Parts: sequence; structure tokens; C-alpha cells
Amino acid sequence: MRLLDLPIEVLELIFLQLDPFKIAKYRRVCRSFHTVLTCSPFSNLIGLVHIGHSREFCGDEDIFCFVTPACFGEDFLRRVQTETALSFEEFHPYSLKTLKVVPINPTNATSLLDCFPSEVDGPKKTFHLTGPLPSTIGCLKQLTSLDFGSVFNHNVLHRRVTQGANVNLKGHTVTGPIPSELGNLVNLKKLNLSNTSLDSSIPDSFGNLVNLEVLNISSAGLAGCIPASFGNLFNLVDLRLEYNNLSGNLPDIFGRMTKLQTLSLDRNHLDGPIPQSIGQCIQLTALYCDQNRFSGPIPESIFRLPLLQRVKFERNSIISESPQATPIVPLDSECITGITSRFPSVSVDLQSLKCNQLEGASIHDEASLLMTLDLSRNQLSGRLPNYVTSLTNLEYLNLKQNNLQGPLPTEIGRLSKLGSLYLERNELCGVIPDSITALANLTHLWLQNNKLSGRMPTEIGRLTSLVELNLSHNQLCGEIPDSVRSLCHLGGLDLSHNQLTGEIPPCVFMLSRVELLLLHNNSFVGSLHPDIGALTNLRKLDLSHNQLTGTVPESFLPQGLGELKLNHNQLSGPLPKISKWKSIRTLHLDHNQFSGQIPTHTSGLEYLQSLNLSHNQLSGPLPASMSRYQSIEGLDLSNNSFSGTLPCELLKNMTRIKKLDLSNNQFSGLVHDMLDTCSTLDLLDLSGNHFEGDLPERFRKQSADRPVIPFRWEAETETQPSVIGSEMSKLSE
Amino acid sequence: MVRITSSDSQEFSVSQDIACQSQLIKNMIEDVGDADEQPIPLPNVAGAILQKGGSCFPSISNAPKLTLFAVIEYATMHKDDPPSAPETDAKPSTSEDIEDRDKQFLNVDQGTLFEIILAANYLDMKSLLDVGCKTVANMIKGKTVEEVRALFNIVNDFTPEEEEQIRKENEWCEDR
Repeated sequence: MRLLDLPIEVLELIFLQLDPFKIAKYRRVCRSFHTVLTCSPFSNLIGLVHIGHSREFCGDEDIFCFVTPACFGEDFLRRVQTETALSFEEFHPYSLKTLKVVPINPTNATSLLDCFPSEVDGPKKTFHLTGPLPSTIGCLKQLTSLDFGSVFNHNVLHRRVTQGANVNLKGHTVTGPIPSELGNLVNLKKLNLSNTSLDSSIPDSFGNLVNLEVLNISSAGLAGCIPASFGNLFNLVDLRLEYNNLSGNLPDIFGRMTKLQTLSLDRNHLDGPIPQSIGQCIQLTALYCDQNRFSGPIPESIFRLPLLQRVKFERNSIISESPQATPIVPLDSECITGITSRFPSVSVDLQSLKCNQLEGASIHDEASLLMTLDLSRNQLSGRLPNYVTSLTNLEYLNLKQNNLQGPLPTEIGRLSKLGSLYLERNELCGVIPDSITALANLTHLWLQNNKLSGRMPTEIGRLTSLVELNLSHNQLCGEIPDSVRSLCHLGGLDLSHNQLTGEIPPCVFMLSRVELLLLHNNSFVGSLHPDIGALTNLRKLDLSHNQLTGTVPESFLPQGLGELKLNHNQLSGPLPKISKWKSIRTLHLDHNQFSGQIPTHTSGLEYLQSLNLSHNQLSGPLPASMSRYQSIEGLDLSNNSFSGTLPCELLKNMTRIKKLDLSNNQFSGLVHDMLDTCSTLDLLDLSGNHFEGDLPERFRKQSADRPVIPFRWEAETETQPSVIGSEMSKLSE
Repeated sequence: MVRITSSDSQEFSVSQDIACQSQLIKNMIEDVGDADEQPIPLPNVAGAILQKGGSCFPSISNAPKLTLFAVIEYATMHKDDPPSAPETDAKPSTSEDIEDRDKQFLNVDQGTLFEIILAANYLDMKSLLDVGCKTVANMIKGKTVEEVRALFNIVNDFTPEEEEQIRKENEWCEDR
């Protein structure tokens, strides 16, 4: 009698006596062995272990995988639970019965836990598979779900992505390369390798995973191309490859993916055209392609997808013009302005849709569900597409930083659900249509950096939900409409760099929630309104570069203000009582006609970073209290009539000062002593005074190409603008 | 006493407590009632010819062992064992713990060993089956695939391609 004459159940008993992790190799002894060792209980070598929930990543489960014979399972799990002392809280939701055991690359049973070092972080101890993905994983053919996604919180990820460097996460997560054997797991429905350090390309064999419904390999350091074999994955519902280094063309793989609902490809280096076949994913609801290098137009078919709600193509090289598209004959009369709409051929269809409507079909039946459309930072040109105004469910429309030209269409008022409208940094021109005031849900309206002209819509106050209104850097003229008083939720109002005229209406200073009020670089006249002190939320006020006159009222400034710019006006009278503004950081009152002395103040302005009082008619000595400006970086008192000697302690506490300009005053006395401590200075200008003595040694060297002016010194590295200058440029951003 | 007959019509009389170590016989006696009346046939257990001149406890190592006899011998040897504790699943048995006398008992040629295991399986004698399987497992333990083939005289009936495929699938388990 021979071993193989024993009945199968006996052979099974024999193998059960052996180390469960070592018997699989005997499958290749002969067919009988293979039969025994692939039947129950050895077929149950496969399963998933769910170990706890991650709280940082809500919804995602922290899953650990083992393979083991079923007979070993429960005991093994108990050991996992006790030996690793995972908090019961983490385990609580899972009864042992729901856990299965799948060791993947064990050397032996007792050291199994050592094979998979767990990441220990206090009470929230969680398990992660670390190290390279074993190629042997490919033999777990019955797996239906494989989840190696780690649970790093977004901060870590974000740091990793933004630094773009090799933050070494090895030892914390699964590493690559991805074994092509993964493609053997043809029963997989869910595969999660997100937030890992695979640093490899996707194997072609993934095209075998025809049952996949969810494939998530985001933030995994993927490189290389997306394999064309993905075209086989027609059961995919959710495909996420975002936050990787994938490059090359996006292959035309979507033709059979009729179940696809979410496609995330954002933040890669994918280039080339967007495949037409995406338009066949009829269940697609979200399409994220932002921050790639896609070029060419967006295929029209995408905009016909009936369930599509979110489209993001931010930061690509998308253009408007479809090469094969014929120029579109505008349907609406106001479009006939000589500029032919050159937006993609999608317009054709929407135009024809309109025609259908004329023939009786209701446009509402056909209305796109699109809620989010982000084509910002691309190369769209031509007019703002008319079809956009057909997307009546839009809540978020972002077309900023393109080359869009022409006027805003009147129909923009039809997008009644619109909450955010970002069209800044284009070349839009013409008048802001009155119809825009019909967008009652609008909270963010950003039209800055265009060429819009004419007056602000009189009824702009109808946009009562507005939180931010930015019309800066346009060519708007006329006065601010009184209806602004109704914008009671407004937190930010930026009308700077226009040609607005008239007095600033008092109602502007009654917008009690306003934090940012930027009206600089216009032609406003009149005096400062005393009520401004009631704007208790105001953080930043810029009225510079206008033609304001009069004095600064006693109650002018709210206590919390951090930045005040009144420079380049025609304000006069004494300086306001600076000492009341305890939290102020930036104070620019230069280029006015202020007179008198700097008031003495007892409490220091310890947060003041930039003070510019230059080009006024101020006089008298500097008060000793100025030496308390311990945060100051830029101090410009030039071109006044200050006199006397400098307070001996003036610079003692100014440990951060970079720019000190006292030029063109009547100061006198010795300078040497006080400058000894100032090692931070980049610019020192004491010229045009009556100082005696010499600058200290280190301030005497001057780069050859600068003319030597007595008492003036500039650091050689002075290539960047001075502090005050950079403050200015920040503001105009 | 219980009378049992082997497939080749040899009849044995064994005491009931020995016979009832076989769950199969125990069940039969319980079903039939009085055990003395008829011999219990065991058609699946072959060869019950006593060794010539053999004693009740023959030196088993060199003689061709006859299955039913051997099984009875084992049962006799273990008749005073405490009844086995209720099954403890949580504690996986290992192939290490074989009593010396059982080792001695099963120190036979492969053919006999498999016959005994087969008989134990048929007779439903858990402890003998267990110890028999452990013995075979110990023979396999630590061996390579090729060694296992040689040891049990198993012919590799895979094609090279098939074997390579299986080898690949189970690479994680192969010796490195």
C-alpha cells in the first residue's frame, strides 16, 4: 500500500498536522497532492482581516491581510488581538467571525507578527503591512478585495506631495514595485493601494482584473503610463489614480467603462488630448483631471453625460478650439458682436439643444446635472462659452486664468444656483450685465484682472448672499452704488485698481462683517467717514492712491485693524493717535499733507512691522517711545521736517529692522553709536540731514555700480524690493 | 468479549473495552445490542493472520504486520488510557507529541503504516488515526518536494509547464 492509496480525507488529516504555512509547496508533488491541498480546508487560505477603523480617514477601513488555513484562523486572530494589545475600541466593531486570516509571505507561524511590523503610535495603534508587496500575493486567486491603503493623514501626504521629495515613508507603508502577479487576482472587485510608496508603474497585467469595481492607487508614487490594458476593466465604478507621477498620454480606454462613476486623474503629469471615449461613461458623475498637462479641447461628448456633476480641469493646457469644429453661428442676437464664439464644438450641441427647445422639447429635461465646472488655469480663448449658461444646475463655475475674451453673457443670470463664480484673470471686457444680480445664491464673485468697463450694476445689492466681491483691476468707472448697503454678509470687498469716482458712500462703512476693504487706486474724493470705527471685524483697510482730503477723524480706526494704508491721498492735519491701534502691523500714511509731531505714546506698538510716514510735513523730534517698536522691519520717515537728535535708544530694540530711511529731514547729532547694533539692516539712508561723524565701518562699503551718497548705504544683496515695496506688491495681488 | 471478523474471515475475540476504542464498533454494539451473539464483520480491514509463533505482543519491528491484529494490539496497549478530553480546538495539535510506545509501535514499513492508518480511519479510532497521521507528517516535515516524491515513491504526474505554474503560484511557501 502506498501513501496515495489513502483516502483524501486521511491525506488531509496528515497535512493538517504540518505547519500550515509550509504545506502549499507540496501542491506540486503530484496531482493527488494538488487536489488535496487546493480543497477545503486548504482552499480557505484566503481572506481579509479587518482590523479597526481609522478615524482620520473617515470611511476608510484599516485592513490587514493574512493567508492561513481556516483551522488556524480564529486562534491566530486571537493572538493578533492579544499579542499586539490593540485597543479593544479599535476592534470592537468586528466580531471574530467576521475576521478572516490571510498571511501573505510568512516564514513561519510564530514569527508571523514579526514579518509585519505594526506601526505603534500610542493608544491608536494600528496595523499596516509594510515593506514590499510580495509577488506571491498573486496566488490568492480567490480574493475579492484587497486593501493596503494606509491611513496616513492628509498632512503627511500633503507634505510629501508638496515637497516632491523623498520623504522616507518606508517602514510605514507598503512599498513597490507592484508585482505583476497582482494581475492574477481575477476575482478582485476592490483593490486599494492608496497612500503607499509603490514608486513603480502599473503592470499591464492589471488589465486582467476584469471584475474590478473599485481601483484606488492614489498617492502611491506611481510612475510611467496608464496601461492600455485598463480598457478591459469595464466593471469599474470608481477609478482613482490621483496624486501620482503618471505621465504620457491617457489611453483611449473608457469605451467599455459604462459603469464608471468617478474618475480621478488629478495631480499627475498626464499629457496629450482627453480621450473621446470618456464620453461613453454614461454613469460618470465626477471627472477630476486637474493639475495635469492635458491639451486640446474637452471632447464635446463629456458635456452630454447625463449624470455628470463635477468636472475639474484646473491647471492644464485645455484650449477652446476643437480643430475639426466649424465656427459656430451664434444664436443669440447679442452674441453677434463680431466675435465668433470659438468655444468647443460642445456649443454646437447645446445650440442644437436650443433648437430642439424651439421645436417643443423642454430644455429642462435635457438640462445637465453639472454642478461643478472647473476649467481654470488653462488656455481657453475666445468668448465665454454661451453653453455655460445652459448648465442651469451649476453651483461652482471656475474659469479663471484663461484667455477668455468678450463680454459676460447676459444669460449668466440663468445660473440661479450658482454659488461661486470665478472668472478672474481673463480678458473679459464690456459691462457687467445687470442680470448677474439675479444670482441670489452667489457667495463668491471674482471678476478681477479683466478689462471690464462701465459702471457697477446699480442693483448689485440684490446679491445678498455675497461673502466676497472682487472687481479689482478692471476699468470700472462711476460711483459705488448705494445698494451695496444690502450686502450684509460681505466679508471682503475689493474694488481696487479701477477708475471709480465720487465719494465712498457711507453705507460701505456699515457693512458690519467686512474684514477686507480695499478701495485703493481709484479716484475717490471726499473725506474719511467717521463711522469706520464701527467696523469691528475690519482687518485690512486700503484707501491709498485716491484723492481723499480732510483729516483723520478721532474715532476713525477700529481696534482690531492690522493694516491701514492711506498713502498717496491729500489728507492733512495732525497724525491720528497711533497708540490706540494696538494690533496694527502695517501703517502707511506717506505722501499726504500730515503735519505736526509724532505723538508720544506710552504703550508700545509691539506688532508694528512697517511704518511709512514719508513725504508729509511732519516736524519736531522723534519721541523716545518709538524705540519700543520691537517688531519693526521697515521704518520710513523721509522727506519731512523732523529735527533734533535721534533718541539714543531708538534702534536698541529694533532687532528685525531691515530698512531705515530718515533721509531729507533736519536731523542732527552723531550717528555712530546707535548704529553699532544694527546687523539686520539692508538699507540705511540718513542722507540729506545734518548728521555728524561717519557711518560705521560695515556701512561704508558700497557696490561699485551705485553712486556714493553720504550717509546712505544699501546691502549688496538688495535685489529684492524693500520691505515696504513688497508689502505693496502683496496687497495688489 | 466481542467477536470481530476481518475481511479474510479471521475471527478475533477482544474485550469490550478494547473493541470500543473503535467508534465504529462501539456504535455497532450499541445498535445490535448483545455483542456476544454474532461476530462483527469488518469487511474493509484486511489480513488478520497471526504471525507464526507470534505472541500476543510480538516484536513488531521486523515482521510483516497484520492490520487488524496490530490495531487490536494498539487498542490493548491503550485500554487504560483516560478517556480523551473533550476536543479542544483552540489548541492545535502538533506532530511533535507522540508517545514513545506509539513511536515504537508504528515503526513499521510504509505499507503497514498506511494499512494501519486506513484501518484506524475505517474503525474510527481517533487516537490511532491521529498518531498515524502524525507519523506520516513527521516523515514529510522538512522535506523538499523532490524528497517527498522519493520517500513515498510518488511519480510526478505533472507536465513541466504545469509544475512550473504551480511552483510559481506557491513560491511564497517554497524553501529559499
